[in-house]
Amino acid sequence: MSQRQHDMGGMEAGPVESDEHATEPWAKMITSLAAALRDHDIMRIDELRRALEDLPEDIYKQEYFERWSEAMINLLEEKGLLSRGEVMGKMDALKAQLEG
Amino acid sequence: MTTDERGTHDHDHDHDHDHPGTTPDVNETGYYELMAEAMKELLIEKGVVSADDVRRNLEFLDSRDPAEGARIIARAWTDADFKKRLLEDGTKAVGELGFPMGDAELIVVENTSDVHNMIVCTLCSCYPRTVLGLPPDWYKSKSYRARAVVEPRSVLKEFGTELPSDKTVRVHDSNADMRYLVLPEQPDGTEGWSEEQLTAIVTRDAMVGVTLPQA
Amino acid sequence: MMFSVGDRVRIKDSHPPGHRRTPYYVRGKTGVVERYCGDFKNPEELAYGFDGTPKRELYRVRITQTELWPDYEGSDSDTLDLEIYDHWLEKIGGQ
Repeated sequence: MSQRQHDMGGMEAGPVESDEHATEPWAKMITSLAAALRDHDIMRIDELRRALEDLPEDIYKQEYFERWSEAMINLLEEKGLLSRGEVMGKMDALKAQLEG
Repeated sequence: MTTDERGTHDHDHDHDHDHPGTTPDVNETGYYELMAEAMKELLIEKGVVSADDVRRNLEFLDSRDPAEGARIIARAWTDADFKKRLLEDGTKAVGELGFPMGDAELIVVENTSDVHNMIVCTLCSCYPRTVLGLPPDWYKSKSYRARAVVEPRSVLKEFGTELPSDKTVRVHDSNADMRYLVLPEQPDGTEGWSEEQLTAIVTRDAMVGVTLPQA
Repeated sequence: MMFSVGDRVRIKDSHPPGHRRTPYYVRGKTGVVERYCGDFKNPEELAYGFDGTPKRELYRVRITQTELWPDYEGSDSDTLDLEIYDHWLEKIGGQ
């Protein structure tokens, strides 16, 4: 079996870019949401890691918090706590509110 | 597709995953910002978590900062007994300084004249968040995760750190339950400095092991 | 405890699918047990909703970089330290 996408030790890669960006508020919020889910033992860090590792390649290639969010939706859907469709629908509703 | 009975009442119940109504464009600015907000609101509406739970965790996250970690290093530099305890049992020792490690375990590794330590998590981005706050982008990047274990000296050079060829470089891949903090060597010229003065020169990068503190 | 500090061990060259915390680059490699870290719930089980018990013994294994990478650039004494669960380790003879 070949080296999986998340298992990066030894992979080909370019120079380390050390310029930094402040963590955006939504990224901090999603981190806090994940922590809250862990506090209630609803979602374990091991499960989240597994969901991240199992993401389709094109989604995994996205930025850190973006792929975390995608993995969280998949995991929460797996647990029957929400569906991707609900999230999309809620996003539409929120967007309409912002534009309205 | 059957209607999702757990859905809320104020939007369309179109649960076709390929074309869920007017899907916001993934390339649009704020797409993931919207997604995060949507997830949070849904989970709170459904009673899975409370707004208070999220707020408390956000406050904790915001309270974590590398300057806190620097206090540990400064204490170790000025208090030999504390340093001994720190190296023997990192979790317990930082607990003395008020760090709520919880279930996490901390191993503190000491830089010496013979050994330089460097921390990475090749599998994800495990990092001593309680002590140092959120990890920087580079720590989570493919470049760092892929190369720190293969060519640490080359990566160190990219951070401006050059080590003698006869010094041992130890890379720690925090792939399991332990979290790591580097105790850098106290720089020359800082002998007799106060804890406060020393705290100010200890950087996050030095505690991850990619740079050395400067006087 | 299954292993002692100083034991020479080989990390199993096994590639089971699913969530594993043994990185690809160390599988099949040999090193020395640097310390016993304690007993922890098995992440391979926790990842799929099981409770992770019985707990597994976790060991810090020290591997020389020259053992890992044929073209390693650095000192012969450079090492890679990481934590491996007992079921991924095999004791090998000699010190």
